[in-house]
Amino acid sequence: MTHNERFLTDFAAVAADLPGASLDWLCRVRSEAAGLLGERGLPTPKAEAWKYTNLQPVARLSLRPALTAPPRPDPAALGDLRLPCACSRMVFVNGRFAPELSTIGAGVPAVSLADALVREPGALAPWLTQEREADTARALNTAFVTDGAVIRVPAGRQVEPPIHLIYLGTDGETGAARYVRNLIAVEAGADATIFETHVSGGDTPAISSVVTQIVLGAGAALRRFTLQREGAALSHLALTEAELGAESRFENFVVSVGGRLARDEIAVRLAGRGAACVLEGVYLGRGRQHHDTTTRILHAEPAGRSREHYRGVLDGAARAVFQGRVEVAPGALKTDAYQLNENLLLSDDAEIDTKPELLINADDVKCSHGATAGSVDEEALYYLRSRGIGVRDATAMLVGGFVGALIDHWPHAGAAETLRRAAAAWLEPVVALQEAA
Amino acid sequence: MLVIDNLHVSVGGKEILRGLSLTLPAGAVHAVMGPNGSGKSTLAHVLAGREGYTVTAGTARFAGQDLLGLPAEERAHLGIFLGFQYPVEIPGVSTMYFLKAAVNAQRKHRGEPELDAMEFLKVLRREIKGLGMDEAMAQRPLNVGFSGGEKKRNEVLQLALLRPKLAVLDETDSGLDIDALKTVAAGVNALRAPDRAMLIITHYQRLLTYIVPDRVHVLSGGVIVASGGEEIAEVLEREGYAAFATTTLSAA
Amino acid sequence: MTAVTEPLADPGAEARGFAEQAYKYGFVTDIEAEHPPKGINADIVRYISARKGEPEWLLEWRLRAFKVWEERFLPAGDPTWANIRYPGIDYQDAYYYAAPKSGNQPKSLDEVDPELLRTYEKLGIPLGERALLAGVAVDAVFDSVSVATTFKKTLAEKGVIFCSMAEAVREHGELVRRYLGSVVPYTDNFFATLNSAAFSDGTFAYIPPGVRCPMELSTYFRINAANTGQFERTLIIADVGSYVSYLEGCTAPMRDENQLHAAVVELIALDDAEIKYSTVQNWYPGDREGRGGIYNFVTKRGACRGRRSTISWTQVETGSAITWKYPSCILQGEGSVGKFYSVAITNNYQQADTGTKMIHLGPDTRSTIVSKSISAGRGQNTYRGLVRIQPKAARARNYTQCDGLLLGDTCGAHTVPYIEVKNRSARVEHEATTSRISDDQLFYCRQRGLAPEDAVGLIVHGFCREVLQELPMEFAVEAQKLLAVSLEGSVG
Repeated sequence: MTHNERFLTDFAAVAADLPGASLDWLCRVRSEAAGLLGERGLPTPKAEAWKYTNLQPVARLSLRPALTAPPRPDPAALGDLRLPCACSRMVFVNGRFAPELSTIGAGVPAVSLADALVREPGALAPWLTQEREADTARALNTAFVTDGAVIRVPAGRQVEPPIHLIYLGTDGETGAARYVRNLIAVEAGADATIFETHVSGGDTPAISSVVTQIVLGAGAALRRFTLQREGAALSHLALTEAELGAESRFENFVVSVGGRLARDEIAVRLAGRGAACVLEGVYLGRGRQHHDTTTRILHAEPAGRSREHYRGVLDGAARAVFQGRVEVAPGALKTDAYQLNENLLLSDDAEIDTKPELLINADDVKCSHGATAGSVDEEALYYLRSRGIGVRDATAMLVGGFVGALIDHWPHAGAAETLRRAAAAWLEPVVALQEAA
Repeated sequence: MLVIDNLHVSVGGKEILRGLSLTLPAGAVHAVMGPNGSGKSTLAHVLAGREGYTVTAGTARFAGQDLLGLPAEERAHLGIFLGFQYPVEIPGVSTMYFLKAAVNAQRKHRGEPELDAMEFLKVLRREIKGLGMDEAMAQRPLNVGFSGGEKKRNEVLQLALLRPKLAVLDETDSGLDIDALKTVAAGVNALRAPDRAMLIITHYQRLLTYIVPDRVHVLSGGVIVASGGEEIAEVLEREGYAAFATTTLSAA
Repeated sequence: MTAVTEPLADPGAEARGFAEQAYKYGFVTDIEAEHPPKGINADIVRYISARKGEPEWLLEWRLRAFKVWEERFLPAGDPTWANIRYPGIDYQDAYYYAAPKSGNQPKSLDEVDPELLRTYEKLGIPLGERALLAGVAVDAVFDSVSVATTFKKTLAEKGVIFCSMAEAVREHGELVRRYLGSVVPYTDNFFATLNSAAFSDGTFAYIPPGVRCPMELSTYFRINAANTGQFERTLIIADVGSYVSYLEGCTAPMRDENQLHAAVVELIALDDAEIKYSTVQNWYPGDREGRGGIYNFVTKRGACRGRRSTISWTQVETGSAITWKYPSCILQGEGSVGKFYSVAITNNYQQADTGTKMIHLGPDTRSTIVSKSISAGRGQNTYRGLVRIQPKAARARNYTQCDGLLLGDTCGAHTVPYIEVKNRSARVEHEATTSRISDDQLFYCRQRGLAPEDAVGLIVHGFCREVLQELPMEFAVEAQKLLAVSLEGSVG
């Protein structure tokens, strides 16, 4: 059986047990998505958007999500995943909402997708049927999605403290796939902060697919922090699509340390005048990890502003891909776009492929990008050593500074602290390796 | 030489100049003083022909000719020079190359032969020396990386090279320390001539200590609210623009 | 000669026979009378080879290329990854061996398009040369033969070989055989492979060890000698410790009716050698409505084989309806250096997708990329570049600066760099900006008396300065004038 045929048989095997199976429109959307997969398979490096990331190993993995409820972990297991600040918490275990682990503050407008499909399916239809699939990696999620967070912040509301979404994988040994779909609407003038943690264990390769759809109304603001700490064998495929209304502001911060293959794809459309977006992140890779950060920012309307800054550190035989596209549509005058991607290579086998891209179709704009790759600055290392600091500590200081400087100014003390700690934990063995070398 | 009559100018739908009248005879040096937002820079740019300023009423005539319909370069050809408050940086274009292009564009317009590189260099050297500037500056890209003082000296250098009939100097003193101010003022004073009028636009009285005007106008709320001799500048120095505020109100 | 114009029972066998015959009897002289049919097939390839009296190995090479083109590239179609749009090219609706254009050649300047002549005038090209460039029968106006002869003598004294590719194949067959296709293999890409099968003529240069070529070599000097047509092939070899500067395309616009140009240029630099290759490309860009114009699909690549060798590409691309070219450097030799300096202008409906590839293979290799694009009218301009640092390229360095300038709101400027780094001691830096000429800059210039178009010219020149100063002096002056001419009508 070819992979493509398997997409269809796997889908047929589970379709009746997926949430919303009684909804005709959803079944149609799912089977169309599965059909697309059956026809084309997962994207190959022939597609420009996947030039540097080969999904063929993923295509060999089991596609079927776990449909029986897994044993619930002890709430104590959430221990170090908790944020050092008050927050509402939604926990998803193996792609299913776990209410007993979750604490949703009174009046916080967050429910699970599976529940919403039961209670108010009509409200979800426009989200899940809105357009054809951008590619078959997204279609895979649509076909099999089991759950996710549905958050709708009504106009003018400020949701404080943040909402923490934890995606926990505990069935690492079964190889079952996980499919999550989040739908987030922040209506006009509303404000929210979301923190996401993706974490799993186990050595069995599996798929963890997350698609997040975000819509910001006029003047709305959303800050989103993500810590991706999947298990070493996981293929983590994340796609975020954000539609920004006039004068709205979307800020997205990510620290990506986990997974065998991790793709963090973000497509932002500045659809209203004066919208602003900030995309920043850190990816840290070692072993044979493959980190792919792909961002597409479309300035569709005038006076938009986008800021992008990603930093990567690569050790072992890790490979990272950064593809950053900034597109300015005709008429999107007074666009101000800046993008920077910086990479440190710590070993002889590490690799970085970076492709910053500017597509400009309006003249009164200010757009620029930069990309760098190299090792730790020899001059700086020498300077520190001349002050009596050993190679190990000097390297640690420089790599730590490189990563920390970016995280330091992220606009949420608790989130930044958690992300900084995750990065610092990753850096420990790097420093040891440097010493050995 | 310059006659402005009842000039009304809007920028982006907002009226900035509201019936300004001013007469500047040949050879005269007048100062226009005013607080921030009074319309000083608008006046300068309207005279020089910058786009984006809508004249809704009134006239401005230069040597008998209506100025307001002319593009910027033609006004330059007539002999109008604007010393910019913020001289513009043009990367990759050497200052010398730019100066030569400007001088020759104007010579060509007057029917004079264009200067070749050697002739121009001679003239340039003379003026640079006169202003106590560093000749190396001419090789640097136009205004790029220049200090505030260097930029303003460069403006005066251009004034000297282009020898206009009317020089409008917009906040030429801003951003200058006292030594630079003296040099710039000396440069301007050396160019005072019976056939050259000057309009000195400034916020502070300071510059007028070094470039003594024949007449001072106070601009407020888009109109001239007071005109007189040096004594006006002294009143301003003592009492600030508040001294003229009531007049402003009645004029508005 | 009649053999090829008549229907053939077994065209292959006939043509092979013809090839041998032509080889035996040397150079074909009566080229005016013959026109092979339109289109490309193995027989046409044999015909071309035979007409040029080529040896068997070269015919075989051409035929292998054609087979690859026909079997691999043609079914897949034209490459589609570039940011260019054009109606499909019918490769069977073109002549692959065009006889010199004597038939429809203008007899005098009076018959030449006055607009073309005005352009020459603006560029300051002497009257005699204007006629030459406009395609007026050359002998009548300009004795370039004697110029070329004097020139050749000087070079010969130094041992420099500089001649047409056809002559090189005849006179220096071993050198050609050793290097032809060694940088751009006949399997390389759609257009290069087509060129390998069908190339008409081109330029060959060889600089012996230790020789600094006493003058800048230029196609200018052999305009009369070789009417190179649409599939030009250039091969330049700089032997150990030598230096050569090569100027391509003249500084002047060349008239050409051909729609498709698919040239291949190969450069080889051995130890301590340096090749400086400068191009000013001003082929017909089409009219203001986007009708006509050249499709320029060029493969240019240089191999820095030797230690401390240098190859630098400088290009000013103002012409063609479509420009598709990526002059590249393979930095193989330890400490070798690659440079790419480019100005590309697109006005009206022109499209350019151009850039470079810097492939760092050896340790201590360095590359610099400076790309300036100017888009006006409805022009689309894409910088596309690859910087690849392979694992053995320890301490490799790359610096890339790409700037786009937009004149007007109906054009586009795009930057698509690919950066692949597989060595940790490498350092790669890429920066790009896109902006327009600011109103402040324009007003400042106009206040000093410059007309708007002169102000734009001045600012654009400043924008391109880093690239223009890489050109040989006399080239730079004309290139600057060319920028102004190319941007005419783009300023309100």
